[in-house]
Amino acid sequence: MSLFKNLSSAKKNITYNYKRYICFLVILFLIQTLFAFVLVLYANNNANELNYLEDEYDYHLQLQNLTRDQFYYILDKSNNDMNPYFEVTRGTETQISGTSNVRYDMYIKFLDRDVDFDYNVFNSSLEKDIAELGENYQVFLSPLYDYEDDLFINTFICFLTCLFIFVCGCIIIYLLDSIMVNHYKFQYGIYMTFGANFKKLFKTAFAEMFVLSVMAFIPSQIVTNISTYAMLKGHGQPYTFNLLSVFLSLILCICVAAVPVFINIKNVSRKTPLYLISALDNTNLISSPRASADILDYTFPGKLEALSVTRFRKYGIKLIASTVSFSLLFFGCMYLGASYLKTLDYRKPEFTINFTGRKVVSEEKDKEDDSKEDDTSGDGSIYDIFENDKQKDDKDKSTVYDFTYNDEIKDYLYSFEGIEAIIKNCSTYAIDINSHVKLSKNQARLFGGETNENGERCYLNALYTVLDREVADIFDYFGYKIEGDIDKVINDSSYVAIPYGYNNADKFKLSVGDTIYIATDSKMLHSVYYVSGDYDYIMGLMLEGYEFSYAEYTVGAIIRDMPVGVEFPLYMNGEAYTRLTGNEVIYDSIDIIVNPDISNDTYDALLSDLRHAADYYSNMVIHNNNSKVLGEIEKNKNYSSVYLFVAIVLLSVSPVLWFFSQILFYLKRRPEFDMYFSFGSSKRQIRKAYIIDGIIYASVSAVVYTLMAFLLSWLLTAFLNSVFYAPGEYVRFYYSLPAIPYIIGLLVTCAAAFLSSLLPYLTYINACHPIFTGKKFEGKKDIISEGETGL
Amino acid sequence: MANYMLEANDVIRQFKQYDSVITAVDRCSLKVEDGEFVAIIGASGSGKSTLLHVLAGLDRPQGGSVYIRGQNITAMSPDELGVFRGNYLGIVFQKHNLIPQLTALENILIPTVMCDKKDHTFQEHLKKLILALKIGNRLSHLPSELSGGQQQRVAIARALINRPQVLFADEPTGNLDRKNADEVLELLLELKKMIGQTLIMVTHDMSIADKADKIYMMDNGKLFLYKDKQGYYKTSYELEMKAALESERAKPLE
Repeated sequence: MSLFKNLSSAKKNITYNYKRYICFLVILFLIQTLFAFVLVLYANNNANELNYLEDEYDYHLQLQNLTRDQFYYILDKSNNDMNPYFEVTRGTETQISGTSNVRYDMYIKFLDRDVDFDYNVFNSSLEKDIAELGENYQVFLSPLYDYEDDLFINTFICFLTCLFIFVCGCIIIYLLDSIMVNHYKFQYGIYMTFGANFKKLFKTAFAEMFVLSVMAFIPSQIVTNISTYAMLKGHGQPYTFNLLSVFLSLILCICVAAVPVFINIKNVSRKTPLYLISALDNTNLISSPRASADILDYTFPGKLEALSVTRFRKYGIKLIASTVSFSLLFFGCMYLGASYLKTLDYRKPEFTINFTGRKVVSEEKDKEDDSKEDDTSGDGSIYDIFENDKQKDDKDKSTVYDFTYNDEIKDYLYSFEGIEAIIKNCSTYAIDINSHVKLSKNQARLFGGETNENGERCYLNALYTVLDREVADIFDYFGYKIEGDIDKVINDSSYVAIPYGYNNADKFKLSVGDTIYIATDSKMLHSVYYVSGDYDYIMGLMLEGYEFSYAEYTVGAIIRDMPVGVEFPLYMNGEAYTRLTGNEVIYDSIDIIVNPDISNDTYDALLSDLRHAADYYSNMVIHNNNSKVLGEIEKNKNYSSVYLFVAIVLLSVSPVLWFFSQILFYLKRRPEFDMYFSFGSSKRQIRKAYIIDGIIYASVSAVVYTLMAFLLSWLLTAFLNSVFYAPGEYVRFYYSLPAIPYIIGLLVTCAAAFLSSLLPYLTYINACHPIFTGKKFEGKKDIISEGETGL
Repeated sequence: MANYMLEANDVIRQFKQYDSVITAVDRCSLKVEDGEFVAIIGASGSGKSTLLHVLAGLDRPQGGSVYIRGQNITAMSPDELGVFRGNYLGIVFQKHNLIPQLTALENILIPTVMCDKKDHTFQEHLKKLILALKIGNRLSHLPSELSGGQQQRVAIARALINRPQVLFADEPTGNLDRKNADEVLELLLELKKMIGQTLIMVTHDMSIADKADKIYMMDNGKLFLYKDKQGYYKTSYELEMKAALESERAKPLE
């Protein structure tokens, strides 16, 4: 048969037997819409992201604190190069406050598509010369530079999403098609008896799927493009029609339909025609018992129908497994969507400032102003520096001050509009001072740490961190749950605060008041060598090679919900920190969290204020993390909508499977119910039989779904914390069962399970069965007279 | 109406098909005495199975009445009819219609679940049925694991488990080979003697019908008495049909 004839025949078959194909049409429509939605969104997201970045940034590379010579050297290179590969989009010249010095900033844009290549050329050809002209400049790359990497990541995510939809689509179509093939295998047996082979059967089946896909094409594209347009416009983003996405979604949908049909027809064609012909009823779905049940005391429908359900358990298990799976996929999608939203809302630091530099001031001034310095609380007072700066020459006189973060700097920074929180950090790695934390067997969970000869668990990945009131306030800012009394830890050097574990996972089983041990001293027994290895491996080597002395500490507080990376912070006050590590309490870096709602002008003003502050501390380096812009870009990708859309589609598969399967299943059970009726059962009893089936299927589905939902929540939490989001990546997920998705999934599953048993009853009763009309015979009223018969 | 186990008067059953009306049963009347074996014969499509279904209360006529044990089953509600069928009637179908997910024994016991007629002789009766039908070694098998003859025996046992007063059999040997057909017929007659019930059988096999006390012939929806205790009413089938068509009446019965 030619292709055209196949398609024409398929179209006719679908038109005449539309009831059989409605489910397939709905599913193919949903699959195609899903593909189209993901692809159209991908195309628009990429375009919108580039536009957004180009609006925000007119440069790939920013050079800060250049000298005049450096600045004009680069500018000269840009203007005079025969084959320019970069351009200077702008430059700024700023006088450093309190001095006559000027700093230069330069913004460079690479001209080629491959910005990495251009940047490498820039570095190889110019970096050495620039460095010779001055040392104190900093180089920063803008998010526009990272766009290509982001594009790769977006493409990869789009590919993964399409692959997920492809696999789910294949499974859904496979399930529906196998239900239909099972129902019509008698017909297939007859066709095969009269010469149909795999090729002919597949051509016919594939033609039908092709026609259905084409029928779903236009409606799906309309729905997709309208909804994407509305969604993007709702977020104030432009929408662009993408022709490639349109046809790609059709092709993918046809492939999704072809694969399961191929598998099903292959399975059917392998069976003998006789096997297919003889399987007219539901015999192949029955589990054969070893012995007869004692049904003498059974009631109808009650126990007898329950017996039938257990005999059809092969069918029931398959159906419940497949329908509940899709409800669980819905639940999982909603869970992931909510988790994704949580990561978007998390406040990430906008700036990181390293106090690595030293301010050069007059030595003479240093001695004269001793009394003033005594008045300060930190290692150097801003106000003193302001005072000194007004009076000195910047080259001839020099005195060195070390500047770190202190209360006065804190007040100064908080005076800038837009700053919401400042996170300071003073810490020492346990491994750096040959120390570790030791817990008893009962205080540690199953995995993690290294066990010593006494069965105690030792952790090398501790990060001894100073805790004061300001650090504790940050815990409140992020809403971490604190068990115990944090003030005890701040005020008493024998108390510590510890998180739940590390790698965002629970590793410790500690309670407030527990005693833990910290190694304070070590005596080498033999040399320990390692090139690399994880903390536990190195800990093992150290336990063999050293003899440790320990100090007792009491757990004063446990911090929950805090994101923790590979190393876990162990908080203690300054006194305890110095005693343990031998280091002074010095805060040499801070993270600044900015109010996300500030305007661009306020943001620019804040950045300028920070730069001015940095001017007073030479080599106080400000890293702009661009969290605000990157956060906006991430939000504009609308991935939460993708999660929601995918979730809804997956949930809708469950009732489609229930109804499609049950309608065909009960169609084959009609002779059985006719027999029950012939033996004396009433209409009410027959209805009760269907209801009992519905209750059994709904109850079992509810139990399976609930158990699996708990398990899935636990697995997803572990997955998110340890794999999907890098440990310590600002977000910690904790186990919970999201109520609304769980309830929705449960209601849809149970309602579909119950109603899919009830609906066949209604169609059975209405199937022109004269006995079920319930009317008493009313004499001659129903007789058609001879004249009317036409005989 | 007295003394007849079953009496049908002017029963009409019609089916609508698109624009036409098919009269499957056209004013059929018959009387069956208690304990009689009545055969209804006729060509394929003559309406005999439809008539049997109406007589057994499985279908509703558009006209006429059917009395069994003096009760008008055509005037009963579906629920009343169901109970009546369970208590007094047994039915054997041509395609046996066993419940596929129940074993042979469970299929046999189905009617007892519907209408509990067990008494102190029930177990004995069940054993007798199983022995007589020779299905003792297949009781825990599903219908798909039985041969055609075995399935029909199970169906007969199922029809007789509640000791019905009237047994309706719709071509019970239609799907069987000669040997099995003869065996099943012998069993039915033997059990009829054993239980003392009335047997109404539809068949197209004259050799089976000849064993009946009374034979009715069905042709194009019309029913004619072909044989009773006094003998046959026609010398040849064709003559009788011709006469019946011309007169449009069967010979009246006493």
